[in-house]
Amino acid sequence: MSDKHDPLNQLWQGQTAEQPNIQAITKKWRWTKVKQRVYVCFDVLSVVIPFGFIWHSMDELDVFTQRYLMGLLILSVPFVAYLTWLRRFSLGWSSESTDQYIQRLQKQLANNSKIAFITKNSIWPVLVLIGIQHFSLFYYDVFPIEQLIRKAVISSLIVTVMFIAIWIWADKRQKRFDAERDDLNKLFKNDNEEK
Amino acid sequence: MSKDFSQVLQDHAALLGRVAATYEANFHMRQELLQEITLAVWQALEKFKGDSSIKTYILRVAHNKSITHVAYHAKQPRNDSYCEVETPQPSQQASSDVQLAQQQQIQNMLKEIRKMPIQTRQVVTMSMEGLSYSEIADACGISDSNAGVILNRARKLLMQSIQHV
Repeated sequence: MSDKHDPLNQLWQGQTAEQPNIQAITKKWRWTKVKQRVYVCFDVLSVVIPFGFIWHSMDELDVFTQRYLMGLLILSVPFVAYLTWLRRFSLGWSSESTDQYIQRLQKQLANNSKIAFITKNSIWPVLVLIGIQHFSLFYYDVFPIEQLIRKAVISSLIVTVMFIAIWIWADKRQKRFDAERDDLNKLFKNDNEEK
Repeated sequence: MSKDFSQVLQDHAALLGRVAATYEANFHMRQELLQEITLAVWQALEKFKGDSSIKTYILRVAHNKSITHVAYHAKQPRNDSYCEVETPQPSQQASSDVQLAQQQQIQNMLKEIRKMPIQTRQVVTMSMEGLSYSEIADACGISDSNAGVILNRARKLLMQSIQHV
Protein backbone atom coordinates (compact mmCIF):
# COMPACT_ATOMS: atom_id res chain seq x y z
CA MET A 1 0.00 0.00 0.00
CA SER A 2 2.90 2.32 0.71
CA ASP A 3 3.95 4.09 -2.46
CA LYS A 4 7.43 5.58 -2.16
CA HIS A 5 6.75 7.98 -5.04
CA ASP A 6 3.54 9.30 -3.52
CA PRO A 7 4.16 13.01 -2.70
CA LEU A 8 2.49 12.72 0.72
CA ASN A 9 4.50 9.64 1.69
CA GLN A 10 7.69 11.33 0.49
CA LEU A 11 6.98 14.42 2.57
CA TRP A 12 6.00 12.34 5.58
CA GLN A 13 9.16 10.24 5.48
CA GLY A 14 11.27 13.30 4.69
CA GLN A 15 10.40 15.28 7.80
CA THR A 16 13.07 15.76 10.44
CA ALA A 17 11.86 13.76 13.39
CA GLU A 18 13.08 14.39 16.91
CA GLN A 19 14.84 11.51 18.60
CA PRO A 20 13.86 10.18 22.02
CA ASN A 21 16.49 10.14 24.73
CA ILE A 22 16.83 6.38 25.23
CA GLN A 23 19.24 6.78 28.14
CA ALA A 24 16.73 8.91 30.06
CA ILE A 25 13.98 6.40 29.25
CA THR A 26 16.08 3.50 30.55
CA LYS A 27 16.69 5.40 33.77
CA LYS A 28 13.03 6.35 34.16
CA TRP A 29 11.86 2.78 33.50
CA ARG A 30 14.27 1.37 36.11
CA TRP A 31 13.14 4.02 38.59
CA THR A 32 9.43 3.25 37.87
CA LYS A 33 10.05 -0.45 38.55
CA VAL A 34 11.90 0.32 41.79
CA LYS A 35 9.10 2.68 42.89
CA GLN A 36 6.37 0.11 42.22
CA ARG A 37 8.31 -2.55 44.16
CA VAL A 38 8.77 -0.14 47.05
CA TYR A 39 4.99 0.60 47.01
CA VAL A 40 4.25 -3.15 47.11
CA CYS A 41 6.68 -3.49 50.05
CA PHE A 42 4.92 -0.63 51.86
CA ASP A 43 1.52 -2.24 51.22
CA VAL A 44 2.70 -5.57 52.63
CA LEU A 45 4.54 -3.96 55.56
CA SER A 46 1.40 -1.98 56.44
CA VAL A 47 -0.14 -5.33 57.41
CA VAL A 48 2.93 -7.23 58.61
CA ILE A 49 4.23 -4.54 61.02
CA PRO A 50 0.94 -4.00 62.91
CA PHE A 51 0.48 -7.78 62.97
CA GLY A 52 3.95 -8.23 64.52
CA PHE A 53 3.33 -5.39 66.93
CA ILE A 54 -0.01 -6.83 68.09
CA TRP A 55 1.48 -10.32 68.33
CA HIS A 56 4.34 -8.98 70.43
CA SER A 57 2.11 -7.08 72.86
CA MET A 58 -0.72 -9.62 72.86
CA ASP A 59 -0.43 -10.21 76.63
CA GLU A 60 -0.88 -6.50 77.40
CA LEU A 61 -4.13 -6.17 75.42
CA ASP A 62 -7.57 -7.13 76.64
CA VAL A 63 -9.43 -9.92 74.79
CA PHE A 64 -11.86 -7.54 73.05
CA THR A 65 -9.08 -5.28 71.65
CA GLN A 66 -7.06 -8.35 70.58
CA ARG A 67 -9.98 -9.76 68.59
CA TYR A 68 -11.00 -6.38 67.23
CA LEU A 69 -7.50 -5.57 65.92
CA MET A 70 -6.97 -9.07 64.55
CA GLY A 71 -10.34 -8.83 62.76
CA LEU A 72 -9.35 -5.52 61.18
CA LEU A 73 -5.96 -6.91 60.10
CA ILE A 74 -7.52 -10.00 58.56
CA LEU A 75 -9.96 -7.78 56.66
CA SER A 76 -7.08 -5.66 55.36
CA VAL A 77 -5.24 -8.68 53.83
CA PRO A 78 -7.52 -9.02 50.73
CA PHE A 79 -7.45 -5.23 50.37
CA VAL A 80 -3.63 -5.22 50.22
CA ALA A 81 -3.69 -8.17 47.81
CA TYR A 82 -6.12 -6.23 45.57
CA LEU A 83 -3.90 -3.11 45.63
CA THR A 84 -0.86 -5.19 44.68
CA TRP A 85 -2.82 -6.78 41.85
CA LEU A 86 -3.82 -3.33 40.57
CA ARG A 87 -0.22 -2.15 40.61
CA ARG A 88 0.72 -4.60 37.89
CA PHE A 89 -1.02 -2.25 35.39
CA SER A 90 1.50 0.47 36.20
CA LEU A 91 4.28 -1.74 34.89
CA GLY A 92 2.66 -2.54 31.57
CA TRP A 93 1.29 -0.68 28.60
CA SER A 94 -1.64 -1.40 26.33
CA SER A 95 -1.28 -2.63 22.75
CA GLU A 96 -5.01 -3.21 22.15
CA SER A 97 -6.88 -1.49 19.33
CA THR A 98 -7.50 2.22 19.78
CA ASP A 99 -11.26 1.72 19.92
CA GLN A 100 -10.89 -0.77 22.80
CA TYR A 101 -8.24 1.39 24.40
CA ILE A 102 -10.51 4.45 24.50
CA GLN A 103 -13.30 2.38 26.05
CA ARG A 104 -10.86 1.05 28.64
CA LEU A 105 -9.60 4.57 29.36
CA GLN A 106 -13.17 5.76 29.93
CA LYS A 107 -13.87 2.77 32.21
CA GLN A 108 -10.61 3.31 34.07
CA LEU A 109 -11.48 6.95 34.77
CA ALA A 110 -14.98 5.94 35.89
CA ASN A 111 -13.44 3.31 38.21
CA ASN A 112 -10.94 5.82 39.60
CA SER A 113 -13.82 8.16 40.36
CA LYS A 114 -15.68 5.28 42.08
CA ILE A 115 -12.58 4.41 44.15
CA ALA A 116 -12.26 8.06 45.21
CA PHE A 117 -15.97 8.10 46.14
CA ILE A 118 -15.59 4.89 48.19
CA THR A 119 -12.44 6.25 49.89
CA LYS A 120 -14.27 9.48 50.71
CA ASN A 121 -17.24 7.70 52.21
CA SER A 122 -15.23 4.93 53.90
CA ILE A 123 -14.83 7.26 56.86
CA TRP A 124 -18.47 6.62 57.91
CA PRO A 125 -18.19 2.85 58.63
CA VAL A 126 -14.82 3.50 60.32
CA LEU A 127 -16.50 6.12 62.55
CA VAL A 128 -19.17 3.55 63.46
CA LEU A 129 -16.45 0.95 64.21
CA ILE A 130 -14.63 3.43 66.45
CA GLY A 131 -17.90 4.18 68.24
CA ILE A 132 -18.50 0.44 68.74
CA GLN A 133 -14.96 0.05 70.08
CA HIS A 134 -15.37 2.87 72.61
CA PHE A 135 -18.77 1.58 73.69
CA SER A 136 -17.42 -1.97 74.07
CA LEU A 137 -14.43 -0.78 76.12
CA PHE A 138 -16.91 1.03 78.35
CA TYR A 139 -19.36 -1.92 78.42
CA TYR A 140 -16.71 -4.51 79.32
CA ASP A 141 -15.20 -2.08 81.81
CA VAL A 142 -11.73 -2.43 80.28
CA PHE A 143 -10.42 0.96 81.51
CA PRO A 144 -11.41 3.22 84.41
CA ILE A 145 -13.95 5.74 83.12
CA GLU A 146 -11.60 8.79 83.34
CA GLN A 147 -8.93 6.98 81.39
CA LEU A 148 -11.47 5.81 78.80
CA ILE A 149 -12.81 9.37 78.32
CA ARG A 150 -9.27 10.73 77.92
CA LYS A 151 -8.42 8.02 75.37
CA ALA A 152 -11.70 8.55 73.52
CA VAL A 153 -11.18 12.34 73.30
CA ILE A 154 -7.58 12.03 72.08
CA SER A 155 -8.38 9.33 69.52
CA SER A 156 -11.47 11.24 68.34
CA LEU A 157 -9.41 14.40 67.78
CA ILE A 158 -6.76 12.51 65.82
CA VAL A 159 -9.40 10.67 63.78
CA THR A 160 -11.31 13.91 63.03
CA VAL A 161 -8.21 15.64 61.65
CA MET A 162 -7.27 12.56 59.62
CA PHE A 163 -10.77 12.08 58.24
CA ILE A 164 -11.17 15.72 57.21
CA ALA A 165 -7.88 15.46 55.33
CA ILE A 166 -8.96 12.16 53.69
CA TRP A 167 -12.34 13.65 52.72
CA ILE A 168 -10.79 16.75 51.08
CA TRP A 169 -8.14 14.68 49.27
CA ALA A 170 -10.60 12.03 48.00
CA ASP A 171 -13.17 14.66 47.00
CA LYS A 172 -10.55 16.51 44.92
CA ARG A 173 -9.54 13.25 43.25
CA GLN A 174 -13.14 12.32 42.49
CA LYS A 175 -13.78 15.73 40.90
CA ARG A 176 -10.54 15.50 38.91
CA PHE A 177 -11.36 12.03 37.50
CA ASP A 178 -14.93 13.12 36.67
CA ALA A 179 -13.60 16.16 34.80
CA GLU A 180 -11.02 14.03 32.95
CA ARG A 181 -13.70 11.53 31.91
CA ASP A 182 -16.00 14.34 30.72
CA ASP A 183 -13.17 15.86 28.68
CA LEU A 184 -12.34 12.51 27.14
CA ASN A 185 -15.98 11.88 26.26
CA LYS A 186 -16.27 15.35 24.72
CA LEU A 187 -13.07 14.84 22.75
CA PHE A 188 -14.29 11.61 21.16
CA LYS A 189 -17.86 12.85 20.79
CA ASN A 190 -16.46 15.66 18.62
CA ASP A 191 -14.36 13.06 16.84
CA ASN A 192 -17.43 11.00 15.93
CA GLU A 193 -19.46 14.05 14.94
CA GLU A 194 -16.73 15.20 12.54
CA LYS A 195 -16.77 11.81 10.85
CA MET B 1 16.78 -8.48 26.73
CA SER B 2 16.85 -4.79 27.63
CA LYS B 3 19.62 -4.31 25.09
CA ASP B 4 17.33 -5.74 22.39
CA PHE B 5 14.55 -3.34 23.41
CA SER B 6 16.99 -0.50 23.26
CA GLN B 7 17.95 -1.54 19.71
CA VAL B 8 14.27 -1.82 18.66
CA LEU B 9 13.66 1.68 20.03
CA GLN B 10 16.70 3.05 18.22
CA ASP B 11 15.46 1.49 14.97
CA HIS B 12 12.00 3.05 15.38
CA ALA B 13 13.05 6.35 16.95
CA ALA B 14 12.21 8.42 13.87
CA LEU B 15 8.80 6.78 13.59
CA LEU B 16 8.04 7.66 17.21
CA GLY B 17 9.14 11.23 16.56
CA ARG B 18 6.74 11.45 13.63
CA VAL B 19 3.84 10.12 15.72
CA ALA B 20 4.58 12.70 18.43
CA ALA B 21 4.62 15.45 15.78
CA THR B 22 1.05 14.62 14.71
CA TYR B 23 -0.30 15.09 18.25
CA GLU B 24 1.68 18.01 19.63
CA ALA B 25 2.66 21.23 17.87
CA ASN B 26 4.52 22.81 20.78
CA PHE B 27 8.20 21.84 20.67
CA HIS B 28 8.67 21.29 24.42
CA MET B 29 5.39 19.45 24.83
CA ARG B 30 6.30 17.29 21.84
CA GLN B 31 9.62 16.37 23.44
CA GLU B 32 7.75 15.40 26.60
CA LEU B 33 5.22 13.36 24.62
CA LEU B 34 7.99 11.63 22.68
CA GLN B 35 9.63 10.54 25.94
CA GLU B 36 6.27 9.30 27.28
CA ILE B 37 5.57 7.37 24.07
CA THR B 38 9.02 5.80 24.09
CA LEU B 39 8.63 4.70 27.70
CA ALA B 40 5.19 3.21 26.92
CA VAL B 41 6.63 1.32 23.94
CA TRP B 42 9.52 0.06 26.07
CA GLN B 43 7.04 -1.25 28.64
CA ALA B 44 4.83 -2.81 25.96
CA LEU B 45 7.71 -4.57 24.18
CA GLU B 46 7.93 -7.06 27.05
CA LYS B 47 4.46 -8.29 26.06
CA PHE B 48 5.04 -8.46 22.31
CA LYS B 49 4.04 -11.94 21.08
CA GLY B 50 4.60 -11.49 17.37
CA ASP B 51 0.87 -11.43 16.44
CA SER B 52 1.57 -8.47 14.15
CA SER B 53 4.67 -6.81 12.76
CA ILE B 54 6.76 -5.00 15.37
CA LYS B 55 6.12 -1.73 13.53
CA THR B 56 2.32 -2.14 13.74
CA TYR B 57 2.61 -3.03 17.42
CA ILE B 58 4.79 0.00 18.18
CA LEU B 59 2.48 2.34 16.23
CA ARG B 60 -0.54 1.03 18.12
CA VAL B 61 1.07 1.63 21.51
CA ALA B 62 2.40 5.02 20.42
CA HIS B 63 -1.03 6.21 19.26
CA ASN B 64 -2.73 4.91 22.41
CA LYS B 65 -0.23 6.77 24.57
CA SER B 66 -0.69 9.92 22.49
CA ILE B 67 -4.46 9.73 22.97
CA THR B 68 -3.94 9.73 26.74
CA HIS B 69 -1.71 12.78 26.30
CA VAL B 70 -4.33 14.58 24.17
CA ALA B 71 -7.14 13.70 26.58
CA TYR B 72 -5.14 14.92 29.56
CA HIS B 73 -3.87 18.11 27.97
CA ALA B 74 -7.23 19.02 26.43
CA LYS B 75 -8.26 20.47 29.80
CA GLN B 76 -4.84 21.67 30.93
CA PRO B 77 -4.14 25.36 30.50
CA ARG B 78 -0.84 25.73 28.70
CA ASN B 79 1.96 26.30 31.13
CA ASP B 80 3.60 29.70 30.70
CA SER B 81 7.00 28.10 30.94
CA TYR B 82 6.38 26.47 27.57
CA CYS B 83 7.08 28.89 24.80
CA GLU B 84 4.92 28.68 21.72
CA VAL B 85 7.76 27.64 19.45
CA GLU B 86 6.43 24.93 17.15
CA THR B 87 9.75 23.75 15.84
CA PRO B 88 13.21 25.28 16.08
CA GLN B 89 13.74 27.14 12.80
CA PRO B 90 16.24 25.51 10.45
CA SER B 91 19.19 27.58 9.37
CA GLN B 92 17.99 29.81 6.53
CA GLN B 93 21.38 30.04 4.88
CA ALA B 94 21.97 26.33 4.72
CA SER B 95 18.65 25.61 3.04
CA SER B 96 17.94 26.04 -0.63
CA ASP B 97 14.61 27.40 -1.89
CA VAL B 98 13.50 23.87 -2.73
CA GLN B 99 14.31 22.67 0.77
CA LEU B 100 12.50 25.64 2.30
CA ALA B 101 9.44 24.97 0.16
CA GLN B 102 9.54 21.33 1.22
CA GLN B 103 9.80 22.34 4.89
CA GLN B 104 6.78 24.60 4.40
CA GLN B 105 4.84 21.76 2.82
CA ILE B 106 5.71 19.48 5.75
CA GLN B 107 4.56 22.12 8.24
CA ASN B 108 1.29 22.61 6.34
CA MET B 109 0.73 18.87 6.20
CA LEU B 110 1.36 18.50 9.94
CA LYS B 111 -0.98 21.41 10.74
CA GLU B 112 -3.71 19.80 8.66
CA ILE B 113 -3.15 16.40 10.31
CA ARG B 114 -3.36 17.94 13.80
CA LYS B 115 -6.73 19.46 12.89
CA MET B 116 -8.15 16.05 11.95
CA PRO B 117 -10.26 13.87 14.28
CA ILE B 118 -8.10 11.45 16.30
CA GLN B 119 -9.09 8.36 14.33
CA THR B 120 -8.50 10.02 10.95
CA ARG B 121 -5.13 11.20 12.19
CA GLN B 122 -4.25 7.67 13.19
CA VAL B 123 -5.42 6.13 9.90
CA VAL B 124 -3.58 8.61 7.69
CA THR B 125 -0.29 8.51 9.61
CA MET B 126 -0.29 4.71 9.78
CA SER B 127 -0.87 4.63 6.04
CA MET B 128 2.09 6.97 5.43
CA GLU B 129 4.19 4.68 7.64
CA GLY B 130 3.44 1.88 5.16
CA LEU B 131 0.77 -0.14 6.99
CA SER B 132 -1.85 -2.01 4.97
CA TYR B 133 -5.62 -1.34 5.22
CA SER B 134 -6.13 -4.47 7.31
CA GLU B 135 -3.28 -3.57 9.67
CA ILE B 136 -4.68 -0.05 10.10
CA ALA B 137 -8.22 -1.36 10.57
CA ASP B 138 -7.00 -3.86 13.17
CA ALA B 139 -5.01 -1.22 15.07
CA CYS B 140 -7.90 1.27 15.11
CA GLY B 141 -10.66 -1.26 15.79
CA ILE B 142 -12.60 -0.40 12.60
CA SER B 143 -13.45 -2.25 9.36
CA ASP B 144 -11.12 -2.32 6.34
CA SER B 145 -13.65 -0.45 4.20
CA ASN B 146 -14.09 2.22 6.87
CA ALA B 147 -10.33 2.66 7.03
CA GLY B 148 -10.27 3.08 3.24
CA VAL B 149 -13.00 5.73 3.26
CA ILE B 150 -11.35 7.70 6.09
CA LEU B 151 -7.97 7.50 4.35
CA ASN B 152 -9.22 8.71 0.98
CA ARG B 153 -10.95 11.72 2.52
CA ALA B 154 -7.91 12.60 4.60
CA ARG B 155 -5.52 12.28 1.68
CA LYS B 156 -7.59 14.71 -0.38
CA LEU B 157 -7.36 17.32 2.38
CA LEU B 158 -3.63 16.77 2.78
CA MET B 159 -2.99 17.06 -0.94
CA GLN B 160 -4.82 20.40 -0.95
CA SER B 161 -2.77 21.63 1.99
CA ILE B 162 0.59 20.88 0.36
CA GLN B 163 -0.44 22.40 -2.97
CA HIS B 164 -1.01 25.76 -1.29
CA VAL B 165 2.72 26.45 -0.88
